Amino acid sequence: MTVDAMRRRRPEALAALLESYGREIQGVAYLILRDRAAAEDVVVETLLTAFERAGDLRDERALRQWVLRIATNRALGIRRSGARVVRLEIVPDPEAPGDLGASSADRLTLLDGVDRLPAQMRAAVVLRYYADLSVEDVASALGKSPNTIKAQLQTALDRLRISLAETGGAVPEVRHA
Amino acid sequence: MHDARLEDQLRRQLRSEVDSLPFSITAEDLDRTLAVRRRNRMVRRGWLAAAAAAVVLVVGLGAILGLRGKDQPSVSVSPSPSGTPSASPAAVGPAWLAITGPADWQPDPGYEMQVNGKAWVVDKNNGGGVTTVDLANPSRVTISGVGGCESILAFTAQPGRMYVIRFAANGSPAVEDWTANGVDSGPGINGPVTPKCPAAAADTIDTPRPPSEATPQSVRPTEPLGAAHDAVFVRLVGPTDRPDQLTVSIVTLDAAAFETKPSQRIIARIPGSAIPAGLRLNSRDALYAQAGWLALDVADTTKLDRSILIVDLRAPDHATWLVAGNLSVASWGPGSILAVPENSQIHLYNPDGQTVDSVQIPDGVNIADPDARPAWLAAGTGFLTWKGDIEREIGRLDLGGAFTAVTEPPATFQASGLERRWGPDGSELGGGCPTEGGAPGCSISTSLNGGPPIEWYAEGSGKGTIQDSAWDAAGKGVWLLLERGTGRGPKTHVVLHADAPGDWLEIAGMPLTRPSDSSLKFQGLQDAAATLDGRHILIGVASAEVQAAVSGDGARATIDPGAWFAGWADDQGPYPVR
Repeated sequence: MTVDAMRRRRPEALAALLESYGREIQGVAYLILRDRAAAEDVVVETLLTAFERAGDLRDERALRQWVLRIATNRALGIRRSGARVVRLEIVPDPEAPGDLGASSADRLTLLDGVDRLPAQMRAAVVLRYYADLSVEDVASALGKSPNTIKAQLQTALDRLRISLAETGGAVPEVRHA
Repeated sequence: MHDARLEDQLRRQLRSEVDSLPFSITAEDLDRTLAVRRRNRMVRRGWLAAAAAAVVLVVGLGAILGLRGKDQPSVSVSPSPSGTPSASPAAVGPAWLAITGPADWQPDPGYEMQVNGKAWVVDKNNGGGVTTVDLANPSRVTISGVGGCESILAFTAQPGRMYVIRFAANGSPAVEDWTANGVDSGPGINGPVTPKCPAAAADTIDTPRPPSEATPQSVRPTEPLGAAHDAVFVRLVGPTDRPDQLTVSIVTLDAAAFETKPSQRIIARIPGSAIPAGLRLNSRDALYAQAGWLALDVADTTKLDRSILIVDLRAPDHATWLVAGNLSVASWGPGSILAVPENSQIHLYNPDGQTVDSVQIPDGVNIADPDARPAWLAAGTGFLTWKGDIEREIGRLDLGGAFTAVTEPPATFQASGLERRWGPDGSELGGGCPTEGGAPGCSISTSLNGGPPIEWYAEGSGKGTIQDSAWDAAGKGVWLLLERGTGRGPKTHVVLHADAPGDWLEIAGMPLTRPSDSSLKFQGLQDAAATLDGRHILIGVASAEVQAAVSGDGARATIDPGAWFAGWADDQGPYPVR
């Protein structure tokens, strides 16, 4: 995948974008939106936007972060426009093999906790822990300072820990003044 | 649990959640969508080129006509700007006849123009053009459809004059006298040929009129077709995708309407033929512009190529304009200009003159959420916009494409009352739900610039499940629509209003019909009146018929079934009301 091919609007560049980032964009969008159809829309819109606006990308090495940034902003935009009522459901799955230490209840509680986070904080969590972006890249993607992102992630973890504790899934970390 | 362990667990569970999702998007899907986007852009460029060509036609070739006039002094050309025919009936000379139609016009099976026993043909292979016919006397010009030889237009052409026969997108022709403006020699019409149709009986007579762009007599009225408390409704007659007719009516929602049935009058009947061949009505989405235009959502049979059909409600049988774009993200402004965002541009369609302009959206500026309509500034000078997706910087985008940050959201134009993006201080109204299926945990809250949410309503209170919410006219209170009832039992739908979080006042309750996969929505809000009975709320499922009209004092008016709301007939004043 070369940015140059995108800038030249080479047809194969679009397919390469899909191959390289389609699945990851779907994951980011789905975890923010919890809507499969909307996440697929985000994938298509993101890839076409990236393809058509590749000239805007200053640092070719940042293509992945740039694409994820477009996807995140798209998803947050949809989330806002449809935010009046968003009904979410998580159906319990059998525990994944090797998912040691995480019961089905814990898993539901964690995912439920992520969904309860404010949308922007949830986006930060998704980019950090699903897409594995560095704090600096998450900050860049969301247009915030790294310190703000660090604070958001810490707050998110604290809230998730409390959620787990409330359901008996784990003991909350005790902090002493 | 320590952070590292929790983080690890979070990583695994997020990935596990995504791994179970199927991924069905293909490169072909992307190519097809990209092709549709590009085709839409090409259509727009075609319109722009056509507009530019029209200017050249009138200005540049008017000069050619002047030269010809010197060579042919016997031809009497009226200097009258009205273009009223003034040539002497005895004058001898050519009559110029031009036939034209919408962009990409490919009439099929086509038309035959007959003059003095000769015929000229326009069809899908031979589009419009210009020809000259030597006339010794005023002569009958007839236009017939090639398919059935039906006569569809006839008029008397005077020697030495110039006529443009203009076909609208719905196939309706009209003749204009362009003598005062000039007509390009341009491409010729195919002919003369031997007529296929018998000499047409002149059963459809049109009087040549001056070109609409050039004369003061033809300036289109722009006053609204109704009053501020009038709602504009659209109804279908016949099949839903290719209706026989669409009727547009005004329903008066004043205080009396809530005591008896509201008065209703039809202001336009749009023939089904106004929808161009090959296109279908795509949704029950219709937007009314206060100068009397109606925009309809049309698409090809694949539903991939979306277009907007703009109909002049003052001349619904022949004045239409088809433009590329998605009506679900479009909005009329106070000047009756239709804004249609697409990628990094907003296309501005002015049906009065059929001009197109575009505004470039600067990088980082958001014009609207996806699938939402842009909000015009109350003065029509631009749009309400913002920068940043997390911490927002609210601003104005003027029609020149310049973004100006502001401390408070500027006042915006209201066509339906649903354009209320933020509270006056920039607060956002939104909500969310927990993940347990069926748990009554959704809530509505406001937040200022991503700050902590202030909860206005929580379903846990037991008052009902949330259907919709919206800022009120001042942007300080909130309207709420709830559904009450459990399981398969009867449901009641309740409209509430609160001036402060949690301070809910029930306005009205009624049983409405909600499909299992949709929420009921506010479809129109008109609530700036000082008195409660002057405030009106329309409720239904999005892009579906209005089911209820409620006034601020709890009264209900009966709306005939099958009507979709297209907008308020006249100015509602800006949001927020001060």
